[in-house]
Amino acid sequence: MRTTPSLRIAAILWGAAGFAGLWALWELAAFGVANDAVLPGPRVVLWQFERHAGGDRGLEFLGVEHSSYGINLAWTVGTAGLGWLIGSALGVAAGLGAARRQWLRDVTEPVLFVFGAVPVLVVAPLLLVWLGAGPVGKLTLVTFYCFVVVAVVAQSAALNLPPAVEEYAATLGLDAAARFRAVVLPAALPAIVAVLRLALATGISLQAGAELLGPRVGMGRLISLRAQQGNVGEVLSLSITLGLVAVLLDTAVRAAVAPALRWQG
Amino acid sequence: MSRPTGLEVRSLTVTYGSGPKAVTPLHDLDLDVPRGQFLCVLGPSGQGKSTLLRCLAGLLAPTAGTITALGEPVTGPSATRGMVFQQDAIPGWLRVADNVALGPRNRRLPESQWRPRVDHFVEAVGLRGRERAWPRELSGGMRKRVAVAAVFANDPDILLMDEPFASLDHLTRQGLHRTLLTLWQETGKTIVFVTHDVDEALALADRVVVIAGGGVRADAVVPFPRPRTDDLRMDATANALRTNLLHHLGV
Repeated sequence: MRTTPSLRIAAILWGAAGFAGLWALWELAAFGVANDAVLPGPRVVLWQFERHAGGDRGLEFLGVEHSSYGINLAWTVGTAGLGWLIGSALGVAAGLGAARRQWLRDVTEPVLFVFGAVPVLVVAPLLLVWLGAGPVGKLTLVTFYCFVVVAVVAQSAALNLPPAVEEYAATLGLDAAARFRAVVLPAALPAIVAVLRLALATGISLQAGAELLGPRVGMGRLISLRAQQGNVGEVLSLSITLGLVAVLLDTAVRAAVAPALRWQG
Repeated sequence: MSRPTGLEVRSLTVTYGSGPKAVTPLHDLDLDVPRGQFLCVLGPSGQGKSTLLRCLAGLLAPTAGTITALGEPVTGPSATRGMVFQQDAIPGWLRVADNVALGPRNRRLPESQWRPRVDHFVEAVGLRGRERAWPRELSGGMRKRVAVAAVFANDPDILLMDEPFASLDHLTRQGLHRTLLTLWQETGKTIVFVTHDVDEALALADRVVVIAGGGVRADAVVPFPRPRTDDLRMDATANALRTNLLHHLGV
């Protein structure tokens, strides 16, 4: 169903009203608590952002390499993004490959079954202790998480294709490679895109979470230090900034794949 | 002189499963379909009509027996034997024109060779003006038209149709019958059309076979000239043939 311009404007206005409502509730709650150390209001958080987004020399005395939001954001999102790219690419290849080849499914299914069932937060400390809290450990953690979730969903999406659709393509003379390209891949794409978006958001959260353990750079490290200082306003400012960047990246992914998913309406 | 054979089925047996739970819907079945014939296959549910069609399409390997299509043994699916399925099988992510071009485009045939055929069959099934529509924007009958156009545009020698119009209302089905007959007369393809509806078989076919109990239980020529109208229901010969076919169907 096509949306008319007036419906789109209405949707934007409703979205804006939602934000305004949330802002008002937050202001109200902060006013009621009346303690910035417990729940600072949005204006306090904005003030903290303006004050420290460009950097804070005080943090550099505490062992942080660079204290500006930009560099730490780039580090956190860049590392998570790299892990997401590697893990997702491997996950899509493994999942779709396993859906098409029984022997590959026999190999990957037990691994994916075990790790797919174990919450990644359980595996995270093990991986970080094993590989260290440095960049390699975190990259491995995000890559591993993205690989598992993307592979499981890609395999199941390709296996859920109604058999008649591929048989129909076969009777039109499409060989296995053409069927994969023209039928299997487009059919699995919506589910793959959904899990890629989930993996990206969770990958950034995992990266920031792992940075709490004490590296010298990253948004997680800044959040950890500000929490130790009891600066809740700054913690919220850092968290919201990271969340907004994740939303922007998600919007970019959605925009990039929108032409391929237009058929869904 | 008899027409050359399009399909030859010899001693076809298909068994699903093994041991005491084995089911054999087709047993030692023989069938010849001359080239250019419109054959309807009738039969009660679960008696092997669709199994036969899947074997003819090369989607199912028989347990025993042989099938040859235009003199070549059938060993797997091929562009020479197109199939229209009972359920919706056209990809939802392709617009109408791309769906009709699915076969030739992905077989990497030169566009100059297939584009005029695609345009022609889009027009022939009444979808001119809807080329850019997505399947979700079409009715069930229109989606069937897309599937029929796609199979004809792929230019197979033999069309296999597995109860393609079963889920459609009477008027839509009649419209599709007319379209199909026009395309068949225009192209001279061999058609094997599975249905459980005797009237549909009498409206379409040159010949009707009834499959039951694993083999061909009845084989009848349909002698009525085309176009066949609903007046056929009043015709004594047609009623005798209908009664005979229904008898073989166990009704």
